[in-house]
Amino acid sequence: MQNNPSDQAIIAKSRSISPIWFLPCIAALLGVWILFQNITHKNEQVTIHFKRADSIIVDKTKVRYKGVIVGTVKKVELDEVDGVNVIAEIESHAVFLLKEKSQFWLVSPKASLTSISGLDTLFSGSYINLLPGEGEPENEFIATDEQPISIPDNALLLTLKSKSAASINVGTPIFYKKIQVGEVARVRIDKSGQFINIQIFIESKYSHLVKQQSRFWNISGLNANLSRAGIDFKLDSLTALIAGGITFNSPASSSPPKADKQYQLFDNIHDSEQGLSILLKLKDTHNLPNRAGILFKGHGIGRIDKIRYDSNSQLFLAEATINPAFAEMMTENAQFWVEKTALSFSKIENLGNVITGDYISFTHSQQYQQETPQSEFLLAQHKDSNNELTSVTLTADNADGLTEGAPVTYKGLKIGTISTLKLSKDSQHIKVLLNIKNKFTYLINQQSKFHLSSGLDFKASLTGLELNSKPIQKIIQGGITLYNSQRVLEKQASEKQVSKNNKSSPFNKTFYLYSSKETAKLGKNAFASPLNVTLLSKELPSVSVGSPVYYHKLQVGEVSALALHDSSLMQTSLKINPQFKHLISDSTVFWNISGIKVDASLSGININTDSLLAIAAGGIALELSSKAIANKVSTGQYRLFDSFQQATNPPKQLTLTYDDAFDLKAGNKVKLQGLVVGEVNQLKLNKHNKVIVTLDIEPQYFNKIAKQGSRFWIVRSNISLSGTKNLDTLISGVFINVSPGKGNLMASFKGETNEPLLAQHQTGLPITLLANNAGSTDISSPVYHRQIQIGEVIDKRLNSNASGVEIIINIYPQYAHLIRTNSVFWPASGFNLDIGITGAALKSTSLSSLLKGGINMSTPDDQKLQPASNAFSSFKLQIEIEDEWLQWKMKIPNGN
Amino acid sequence: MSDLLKPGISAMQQGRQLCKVCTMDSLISANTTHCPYCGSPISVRIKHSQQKMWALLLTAIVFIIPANLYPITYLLKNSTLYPDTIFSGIISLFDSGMIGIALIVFIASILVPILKIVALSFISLAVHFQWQFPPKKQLFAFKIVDWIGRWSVLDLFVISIMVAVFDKGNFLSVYPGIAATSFTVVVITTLFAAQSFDTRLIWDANTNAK
Repeated sequence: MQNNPSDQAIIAKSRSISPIWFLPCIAALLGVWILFQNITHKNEQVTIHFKRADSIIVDKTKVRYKGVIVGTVKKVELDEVDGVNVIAEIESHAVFLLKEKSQFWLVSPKASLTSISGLDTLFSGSYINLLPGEGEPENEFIATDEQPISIPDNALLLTLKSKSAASINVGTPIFYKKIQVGEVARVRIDKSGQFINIQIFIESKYSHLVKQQSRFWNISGLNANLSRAGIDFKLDSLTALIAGGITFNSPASSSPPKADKQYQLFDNIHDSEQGLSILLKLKDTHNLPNRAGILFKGHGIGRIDKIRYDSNSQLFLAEATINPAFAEMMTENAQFWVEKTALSFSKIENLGNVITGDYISFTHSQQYQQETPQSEFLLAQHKDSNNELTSVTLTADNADGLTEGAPVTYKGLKIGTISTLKLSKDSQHIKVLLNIKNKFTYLINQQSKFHLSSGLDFKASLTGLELNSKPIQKIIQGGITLYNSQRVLEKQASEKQVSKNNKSSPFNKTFYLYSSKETAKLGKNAFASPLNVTLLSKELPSVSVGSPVYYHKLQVGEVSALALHDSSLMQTSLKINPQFKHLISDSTVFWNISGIKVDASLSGININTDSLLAIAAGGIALELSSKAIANKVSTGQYRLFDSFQQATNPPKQLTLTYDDAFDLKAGNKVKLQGLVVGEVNQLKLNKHNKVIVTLDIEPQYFNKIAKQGSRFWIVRSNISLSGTKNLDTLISGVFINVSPGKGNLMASFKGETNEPLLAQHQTGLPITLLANNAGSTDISSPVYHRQIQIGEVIDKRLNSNASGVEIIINIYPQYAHLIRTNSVFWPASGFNLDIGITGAALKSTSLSSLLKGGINMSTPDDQKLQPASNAFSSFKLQIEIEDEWLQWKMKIPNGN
Repeated sequence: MSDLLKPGISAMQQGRQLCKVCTMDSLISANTTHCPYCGSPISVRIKHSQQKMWALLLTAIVFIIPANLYPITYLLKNSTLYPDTIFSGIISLFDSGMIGIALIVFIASILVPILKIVALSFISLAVHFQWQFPPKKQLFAFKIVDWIGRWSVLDLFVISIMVAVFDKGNFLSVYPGIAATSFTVVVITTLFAAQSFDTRLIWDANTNAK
């Protein structure tokens, strides 16, 4: 067994295959599949020619179609000729997009007024967009500059013709009833170079809206229409405001558009309305605004399109378009005229034209139905006045208050208008032509009178003023009023009955135009020459030749001359208008009203002015004075007063004599108990070197003041330790106070510089105190009894031999009884310092007395009540105070 | 129970085999299928070692192609997808001046897998055709491949981290690409290939040749 090798089982290694081979098989399969994929889905390389390669980055910039990345830029190289070739790899699945007409363009962030596009590219970078086209497969392309407009399938393509491409761009929206229905696809200049062809497309779902008769017009977003009615802003969509837009409308009954129909693009909705074209001939364009309206009874029926000058006929030719609805009225007798703004006091017409510009009015003829149509008209300056009016001629001195078109009224009823104003042939008068309505002509006869309509009736007298005003319209308008006296009317009525034909026509006559109803009543006299009046004054009034003369602020004449009179006075000559002659009589007073009167004081400023004219030119006023005033100088001329006050109520004068005028000035007030009763007129030195002060005292106070016993003193500010007084006079100036006396009338007084001591308390009990020296006692120092002031020091002086001082005190009347023959007086001034072993004692009375000084008084109570003291009795002023005195409590009954 | 093994001659030549479970050696002739000590299956050399390695190597060779040609990551930045192959990544690293990192990535991601495959193939071929190469050098090369192979996982690690971290939707995201899967397959197969190779075959081949 051992030797037989065949007996041993041979273990042979089986050559089995490991299951691990499964792995590489799968891997191989996968690899093959990937390989197959790679081969079948081979990327296509395309070359796109760009002008510039801004923001194109190799391997980063993608090619997209509808947002899907279909490729990547692999290479950017410069073109040999111009621009840049961008080589991009288009993924295999998108290769079918690469056709002959495919378009590529670069999308980069773009912000414009209308849109912000490609915003995503801000972050992701620009990309190349692909728009597939038709044709053979192709792999070389030229990039377009802009995003091509994508015309939706089945969209309706239209061509609009326009004169300019104003605010029309590719992409400008097309609206129908403000809904966007399409876009402008292309804007091209046509071959002739005269028009712009605008290709638009209307989306297929809206294409039925376009009809054969559709009208397209441009809607610039903002449409402002200024008219009298206000300002009308029309704003289409905000997009349209910025990007512009085109809109259209379509007549409901219209056929669908024919193929190749070209529409006109109108500038605005008005242009799109067709109308009748007419031609207006103008001599003068009257500054007619561009596109001036044509109005018929205030209703706009057309517009002027263009005004050009025709050198042959030397006329302006205005092409106008009339609303077809009014076309039948354009017949041979139709009238056109210019309506201009008329701005005057009598009327304000067509004020709206100031804003809107003038316009043209139109009226058709009565029987336009029978007349032949016409398309050329002559533009008239005014509306032709028809035959319903009769002319009347007036002669006036001047054209004041007259305006063309102002009304002619009779008893407030308008019967006509002023037609024209012109100078008469001799240039002396104004000829006024009136148009009187025919139905009122019977009112006018030979005796009729015309006068200016004045808005105000003025009746003024010293007793008051009466003012009647007509309606404000009248005041503003003015105009002319016809006046027929009652007698005339009656006569006229009878004449009418007698014969209608025999009457001489008043319309050939020239009437006078009177300036007022009063003068009209007077009749022709009113045209007499003016009245000359001569005034004399010391100084010339501040007037000039031509300055007005007023009677109650109504101008009645003017200054005619200024001269030096023989009597060395200044002579002012006035011309009083004849109708006011009656104002000049013996009792007439004249005064100067020039400029402004300013009365400024601490209490305020009071400005008194006459009319503005009077401020500017000066003036003279006159008044009939009821009182007898010396209104004339001795030679017979009138005196010219400085003011009305002076003229009518001259102040009375009195004189004061002063040693020293202090701060007194002319113009300082004179006051009586705080009331101003006059003022200082002038200050003079007389030969004794005294100041003579002349006061003007208002007459009504004169009798009260100018009496014997009246005292005048100057009130000045007074600042002292003891108090301040009359501080206001620091600013307002000193004034003279007066305390009226009770004596006989007199006009000359001696002035005082200080307030009279007895001013407040007229009387009292004067007492003389005898002292060694005056101490701190001063005039007006108080006299106290138990710290109550019962009087004051009124004077202090040395006695006759200068051995002592006499202090005169005045005890107020109500306290006079307190002074008894045994009363004691001691100075209250200052303080008393008593220094002893026990200490120091300070005695002082009131603080006031510490400052002002003063005198104390008391009456002993340890004696019987003594009789009251007499006036001017003398007491001794004690030097030392005794404590005992302060304890006295003497009861002093009043009344004995 | 038996004589000590002689050095210088392989255990197989001395008729002995090693149990990989209990590490006891036993007679090849007596115990053909199981270890006499622990009863585990036993064989003189790893069964089908060459076959397994070749199968795995072939898989790796197939997959290393897409791993290098296809994008390994997709970077989604601002809604745009930027694919990156391993090589484009290395180039962009190189372009941005990070040469060192570029070198590391190049070695770890491209060079090492290729070298692994090449080295393993060479050793395996040398064993199969009994080329007379010094066995120690072959072993050294194998050791290096075995050691360095694990580092190739670094790429996958980085990709997995990037995918997890950069996940900000359209703004910034990273997605793994086909190459990542392929690369994983390459790494795993080469790892297993190295493991399934029985280094003793190198000596066997040498002794057989003699």
